[in-house]
Amino acid sequence: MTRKSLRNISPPAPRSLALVLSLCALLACTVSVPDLAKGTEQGDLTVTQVTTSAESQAEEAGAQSAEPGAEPGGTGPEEADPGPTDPSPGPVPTVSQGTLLVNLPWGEGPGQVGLARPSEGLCRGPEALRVANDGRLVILDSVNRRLVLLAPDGSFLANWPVELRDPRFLAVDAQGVYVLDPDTDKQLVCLDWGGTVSARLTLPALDGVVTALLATERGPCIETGHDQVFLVDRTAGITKSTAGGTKSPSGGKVVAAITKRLAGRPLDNALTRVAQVTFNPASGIEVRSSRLDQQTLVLHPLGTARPRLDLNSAVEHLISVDPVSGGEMVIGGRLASPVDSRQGRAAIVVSRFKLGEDGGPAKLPAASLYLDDRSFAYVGLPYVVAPDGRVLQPLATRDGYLILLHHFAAQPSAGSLDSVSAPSPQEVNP
Amino acid sequence: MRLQLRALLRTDSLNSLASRKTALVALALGGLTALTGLLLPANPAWAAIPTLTRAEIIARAESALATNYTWGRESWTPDSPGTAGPDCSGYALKCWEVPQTLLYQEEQGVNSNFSPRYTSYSFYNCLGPWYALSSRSLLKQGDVLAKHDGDSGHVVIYASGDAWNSPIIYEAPGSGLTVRRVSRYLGSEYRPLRRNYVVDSPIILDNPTAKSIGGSDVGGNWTRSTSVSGYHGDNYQVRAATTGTAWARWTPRFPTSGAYDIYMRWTAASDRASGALVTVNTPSGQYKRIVNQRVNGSTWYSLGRYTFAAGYSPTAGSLTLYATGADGYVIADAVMFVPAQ
Repeated sequence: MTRKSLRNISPPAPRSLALVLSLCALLACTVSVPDLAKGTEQGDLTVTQVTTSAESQAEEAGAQSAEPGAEPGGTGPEEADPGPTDPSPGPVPTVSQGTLLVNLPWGEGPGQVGLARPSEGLCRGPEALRVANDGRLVILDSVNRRLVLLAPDGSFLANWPVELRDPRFLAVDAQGVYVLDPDTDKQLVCLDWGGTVSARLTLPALDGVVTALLATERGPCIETGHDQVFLVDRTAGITKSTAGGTKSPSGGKVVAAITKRLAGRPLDNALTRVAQVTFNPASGIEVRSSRLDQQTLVLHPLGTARPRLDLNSAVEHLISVDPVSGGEMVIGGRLASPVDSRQGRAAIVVSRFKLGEDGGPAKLPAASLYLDDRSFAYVGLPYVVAPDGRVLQPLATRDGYLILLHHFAAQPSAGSLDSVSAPSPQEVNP
Repeated sequence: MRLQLRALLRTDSLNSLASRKTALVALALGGLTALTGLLLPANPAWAAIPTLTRAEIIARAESALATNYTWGRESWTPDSPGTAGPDCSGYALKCWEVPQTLLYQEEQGVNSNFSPRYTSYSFYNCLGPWYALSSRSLLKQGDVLAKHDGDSGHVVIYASGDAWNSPIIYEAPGSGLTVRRVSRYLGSEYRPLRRNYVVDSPIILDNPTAKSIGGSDVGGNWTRSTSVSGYHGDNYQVRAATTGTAWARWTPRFPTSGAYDIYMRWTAASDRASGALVTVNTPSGQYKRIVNQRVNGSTWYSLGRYTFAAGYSPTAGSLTLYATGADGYVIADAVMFVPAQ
């Protein structure tokens, strides 16, 4: 097939023709164009009552897949979204504008990052961003298959090649940088802070799709399905799992699973605590905290918490759960129905929670941020939390790859979303 | 006609100018059709698509994993990692089996690309037999999400939500990359879409998994037929007895590990095989069964209970029917996998 043939399909009808034909439609259908336009603006389209045999067949064949939300005034059982995040009228959230830290042009040169933009495929830029404890930024420039190292102020420091065909995940710690290609090469590459590859590990088959690469003092961790975490031995491959255990690729030692029920994300670098976080639109978030015995690697349950991200909007899914210094946790989610405001479209809520004695987060957030998700290309997670609690938002535009800095503002009263405001440049510029 | 109008009007984002134009054109065409007394769909292909179960869509999606993204392509050889695979929209339209013209057929030996075909632009703007969902919270297995920004677009197939309800998807992402099942953040620009004639059901695979794309899910020449009534779906596949290679395979994606009751369906007749060989391929080995297709037609015939591991495995999670060595026509109609209570 030629490129031309792909582009030639479905040509838009000339406007004049559409208007002429629409007059015919007015005579034949019970739905008028003005009605349609009116209904469109109100978001409650009504449909002609004319029924044909084809229609009947369609309804019979697709009875179970009927879309209740499209029916006039439809609020069928599928649309109901009950639970603690049930939407209710509330203030329109203020979208944080952030402050521009750096804008890297698209390209292959120093200080540039790659953009892949197939006509039929995923438009993607760098697929991961991480912040080291000292404030340096590491960008996984997936298209150029390299790492881009930036100083805390965003100035370019270095490019490090990564010999992986499809690098997608990134983690950093005091020892170095970890890059994971879970789909094509199925390898984890470890680099020191000089950019030298210190290890290249082939992964065994993991149960589930990879959702994160995390770094701890005991080694990097690979998370699958947002519920199982595999601790990686830098020298021997995967040796331990907080879920089910697995073998090293060379057939080496097999370490018994800690426990499958209490799988979870590390809550600190020392891997002394983990949290199993689950989310369901109906029941909300549940965080089960556990203490990890450093000798036996057995988990001891500490408690269960049910924090709420947003009091006024339903959440579609969680995006990330990040521990930050000072005994806090940041949880972000995507809103089920992004909210338009004068500052932009609030699609993501990021909330900071204080942790209780049992290691679990408080029920209500100490502060919240609202972000848009208007990225022109896929850039991995839509926000990243720095160790010091700042929120960085990678964003692709047609001109380049931006990193915006956001700060949490204190939230004087729970649910008062208007109190969250964008930080001033003086506040966030390093 | 009404079907098309509903498909178009079921979008929740007609507030865009492009969508309004589309709706106007659709209404206008509908009006003309009504005036002339014709109540046929403007595009007959829309009414010609078969009913699919969600399990069938997912089984097809699984069969393309690890093939190589190939721009402009919508075919692949099932379960053949490293070979040429589809681009994103080719992947979706094949899994959905939504041809744009009636000329599009997938019969044995026909493995060519075709034009015109649906693209990400078509998916995003609902220019085919599907409709937009009003919310992503309504997504079910086998639905798709599509985006298009004027020059570039992407289509992914929704598999499920994970422990955070984050979407797990199937996609053909781009050149140099492979078809995959991944977790990916999908921004607000992705529109949720549902194919017409998709039904929720137990795991029912109608005809062999990949519908004879010329690949390994069907060996030998099987043809489609509707000669004997009582088949599941729109037709069945038939193969005359042979001494050569002739087999058909059904491979579902098992949602959980455990025991499943397996049922098979055929249309019975006196010229059928009286002892067709069936193998049930499980993690613990292969179990052989014999079915008499001269009787017990048009019913779900029990083949017993077997234990499978979660996931997709043509070698250890499938059922194969052989026409090799049979004494009559062998019918490959449908197979159902029901989780044991």
